[in-house]
Amino acid sequence: MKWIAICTAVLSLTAFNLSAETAGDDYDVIFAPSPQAPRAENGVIIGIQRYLEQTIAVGAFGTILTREGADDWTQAQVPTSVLLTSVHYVDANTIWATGHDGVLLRSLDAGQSWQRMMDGYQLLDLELAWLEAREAYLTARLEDAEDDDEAFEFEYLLDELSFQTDAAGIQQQVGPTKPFLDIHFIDQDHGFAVGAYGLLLETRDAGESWSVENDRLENPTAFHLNKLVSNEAGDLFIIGEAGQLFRSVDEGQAWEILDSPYHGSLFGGLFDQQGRLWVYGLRGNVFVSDDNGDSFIAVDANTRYNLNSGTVMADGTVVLAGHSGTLVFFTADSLDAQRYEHSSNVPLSGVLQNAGNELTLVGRSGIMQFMYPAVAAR
Amino acid sequence: MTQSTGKFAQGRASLAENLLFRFRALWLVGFAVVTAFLLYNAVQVRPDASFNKMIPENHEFIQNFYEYQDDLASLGNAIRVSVETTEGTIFDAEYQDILRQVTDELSYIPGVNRSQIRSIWTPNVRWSEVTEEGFVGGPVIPDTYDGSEESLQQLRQNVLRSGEVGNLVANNFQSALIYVPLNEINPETGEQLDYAEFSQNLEALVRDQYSSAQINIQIVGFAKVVGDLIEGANQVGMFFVLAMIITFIMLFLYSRCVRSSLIVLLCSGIAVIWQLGIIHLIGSGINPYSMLVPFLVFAIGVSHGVQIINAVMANRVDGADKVLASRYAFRGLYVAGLTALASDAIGFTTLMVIDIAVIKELAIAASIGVAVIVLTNLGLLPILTSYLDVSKRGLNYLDSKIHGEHPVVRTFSRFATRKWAIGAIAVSIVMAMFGLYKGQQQEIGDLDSGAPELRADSRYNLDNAFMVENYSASTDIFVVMAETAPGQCIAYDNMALMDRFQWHMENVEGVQAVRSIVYASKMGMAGINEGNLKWYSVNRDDFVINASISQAPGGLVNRDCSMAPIIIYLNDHKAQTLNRVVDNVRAFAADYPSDELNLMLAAGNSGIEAATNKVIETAQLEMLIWVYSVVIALCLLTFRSIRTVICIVLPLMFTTIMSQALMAGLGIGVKVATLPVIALGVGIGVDYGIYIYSKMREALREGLSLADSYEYALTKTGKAVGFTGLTLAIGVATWIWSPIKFQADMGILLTFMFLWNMLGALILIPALAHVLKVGPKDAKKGTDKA
Repeated sequence: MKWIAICTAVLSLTAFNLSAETAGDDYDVIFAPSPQAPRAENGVIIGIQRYLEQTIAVGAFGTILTREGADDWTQAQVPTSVLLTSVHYVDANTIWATGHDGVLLRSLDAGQSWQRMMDGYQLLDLELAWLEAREAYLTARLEDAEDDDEAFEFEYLLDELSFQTDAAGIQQQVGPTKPFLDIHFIDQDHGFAVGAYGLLLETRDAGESWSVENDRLENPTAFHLNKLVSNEAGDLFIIGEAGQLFRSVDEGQAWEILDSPYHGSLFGGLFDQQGRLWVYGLRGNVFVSDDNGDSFIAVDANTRYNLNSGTVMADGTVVLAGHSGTLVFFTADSLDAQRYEHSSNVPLSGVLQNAGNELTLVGRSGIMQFMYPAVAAR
Repeated sequence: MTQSTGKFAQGRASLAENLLFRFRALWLVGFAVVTAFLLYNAVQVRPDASFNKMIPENHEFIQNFYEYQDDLASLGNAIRVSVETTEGTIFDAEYQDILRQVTDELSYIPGVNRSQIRSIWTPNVRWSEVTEEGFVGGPVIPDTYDGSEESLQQLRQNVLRSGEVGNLVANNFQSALIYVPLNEINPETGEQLDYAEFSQNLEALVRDQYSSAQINIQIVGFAKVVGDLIEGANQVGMFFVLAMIITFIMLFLYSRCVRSSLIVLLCSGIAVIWQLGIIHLIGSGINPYSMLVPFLVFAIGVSHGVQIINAVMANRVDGADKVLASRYAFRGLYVAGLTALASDAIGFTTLMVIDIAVIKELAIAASIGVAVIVLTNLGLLPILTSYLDVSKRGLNYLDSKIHGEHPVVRTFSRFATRKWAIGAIAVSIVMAMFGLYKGQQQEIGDLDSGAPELRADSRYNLDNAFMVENYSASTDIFVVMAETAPGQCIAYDNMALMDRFQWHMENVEGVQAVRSIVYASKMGMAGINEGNLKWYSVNRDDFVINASISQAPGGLVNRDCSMAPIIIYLNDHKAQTLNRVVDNVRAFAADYPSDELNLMLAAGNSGIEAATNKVIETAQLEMLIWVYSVVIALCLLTFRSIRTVICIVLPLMFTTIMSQALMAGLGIGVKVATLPVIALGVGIGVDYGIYIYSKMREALREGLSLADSYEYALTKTGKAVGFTGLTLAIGVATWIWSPIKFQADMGILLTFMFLWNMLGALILIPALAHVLKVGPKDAKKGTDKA
């Protein structure tokens, strides 16, 4: 193997610029820089967002692509190779991305360069500290319990917590496994990240430091938290596994659990131009609330495929994108679904409107286009 | 190569001649007995299309492939049968009925691994869906299927959620596939799968039985290629008959003597019988490549036989009786014949530098063939003429032709004069420059899509094109074997590295897609997370990895989990593409050295082809150096003159250059089939030069000018050289119509080389001799060997 090492040394000096920690046996997907890939646009792309003229897309192997207007996509240098799951603009220059293995990324130069602000190893330390504190807290409350009902409740919570403690133990052995699934900033400094197994993190210093705040949600079973959205008033909503819906009207300090219309998983949510909250998920289930989440009505999306993501077009049309290339359109004020299938038939995980009726889609086979027929076809 | 005029060949009878003719009756009996014995063996020769012999077995890639051959078997040896409807879609009761029947029919064909067969009619093809309650699923064909509109609707829905669109169901819903894995070894009888029989069964029981105006059947897979190859190879037998008939006509036109024409055919035929018989005795078979050898042996036999007949006739015209005429013919020719045959044999032997079994077999078979020609056509043939004589008609014809200038002489003698010599050389230089330029575009390996062994418009390749168009899988597959410690093939660290490797390869130009256990695991991760693409990632937890691959198709890890094939689907199998893939695998392995994970090259049809290309590429130059060294050495030995060697070898090189240009022009790559052709062309081509130059030198020694000497040589051998060139060309030209593409390529190239070599010798040898100022003085030195 000596010659291989020599070759590597030579190669790393020339074209490949590898640091020791990325090579071979020491390869850790968290720290390995994202490979520059000629076909990055055709890889797995999960998240897509736009801010003014810039569009950004993130996906597998730490791929982050940006473009101005309708220019070509350029791939950024990214210090991780994990699967990136979402992207969020704080302002034109400050962008956040979430990823697997507890990775959070931040760019301060409009997506050109990125720093790891959190990785799974750091997250694990935070979680362990939080679990310990939480366990101590619940144990104390159990001891102080005034009646059997209260005791039972804390026993239950402790029991559920022990699963998380076990999971953390496994992570200590095998390495970090929890993905972040979404991120949202209220302002430059104050933001939240959500993830698998009930993960809720908060920062108040622009992401320099984070705290685990899982217990702000009534989520003892630690369901995955898939999506964070806010309305114009600044109310925050968390949408998650098994129909979990949480709302906060005080910038994420207190969260109330909403009466969910569905017990299957919800993957996304959005506010339309009328201020209605749309949530959608497994098997084509779509629900709309015009009272800020207090009540929902079911909408027939005319599909049984999962709906993963959505956007509101300039004319107010709501578009939901899902599996098997499914695109469902609801023109403003209408709850009648017009269903189309993108020819790729792949799972779609993001959708954005370009000029006119052209949509940019992202999914398992990368970045794709779709032209929405202006006149309803069916 | 004499055509004696006036005087009998000089000299005393050699020992060989005396041995042969004193006991000629005994020899005849001996030949008859040996021929009978070898004929008995020859008819037992079987076509042998062994896959292993067509690949460079000692190459690193192939060694690696052999190590895991059993583990990779489940990936490889399967056929795919598509049932296409020309009316409407597959969601039709009648169509489904036929699809079910074809599926059943296939499962009863011997060689089929019945339990693994997959189509939408087999219970192992299921749909599944994530619901609020978890996974639900069932067989794609509804349990309640009755052909009604509702059940067809249900079927359609099941197909859509089965994920089989593009796999078992065509993207346009007009055809559906049956995936049929084969047992190479019959588990009950232990017998090897008979590809020819299997292929015939497919044709008769499936294609013929179910094809109709509404239904088309397409069949692809390695077993079908081999079956078609064997079937195509059998047709080559017909070409042999055709070549014999044409040769007989040529012989007759040449000699106007049925008897001697038949003698030549008989002796050459006996040479072929001996060659095949010996091949069988040494335990070898005949493969689609070495099938060329009987043709060559026959053609070389005829071209030498015709010299003997020629001489016998000339001697008879001059008045000798049939025995003496035969004796003198033998006396005058056996040294020259042996020299020419030796050059052929040595030329063939240089093929041994190519480390591919079929080419070595071809070299051995050809060497044996040439060796037996020495006995049959230099030995048996004059004995036969000493008994049977030649016909009066032939003698009269020869007598009438001896006087008067032959058109060959008239046409070519002018090339020994200044104006024509310089003109010819100038034209040749221009052509050679063009040839060199064009030859640079020559490519290594097979260039056509589909099964390159077969013609582009063959049934197989049409079927293959149909599959590529309607289903989502390339047929050019390159497999990298990711080797780990036993049990570690799905350990996270290895999976993570494989994942990155897979992405690296997916970014290589020419790569369509990469599939492996990592891909299956990531799909499984999304699957167990309700299809959410945000989970499309390898998990660090080995328990989770195990869960993620619980639904993975078989064959993605081996039995003891020490190897996971990474299957790379390519756009094509051009050498450039294969090189790029190999280089990128190596670059990645160098960038990410690991003691845990060894990325081994290479399996899959494209991996094997990459190895073959590498071997061919190095062997090409090596073989050319060898064959030219041998030819140059042989010429130096015979003529002891550098200028002579230049005169003889330059036209050969010109032919080599032009044939490379021809290959580039016709899109024929340098491959297992065409590489030997270059050596054969040079080895046999040098004969012309030896014949012509030796006669020319005879005259030069007498003090004749170059122009006169060349005219003398042409008178003596010109007609024979022309005839030899044509016979050789015809012997191989019939191959051009072979259904097997590489045989056709061999036919085209050999025909071109034999004819071009002939013209090159007739035109360029005198022209070069003129320019190099070869004169009577040069001929004085050197031995009188040829």
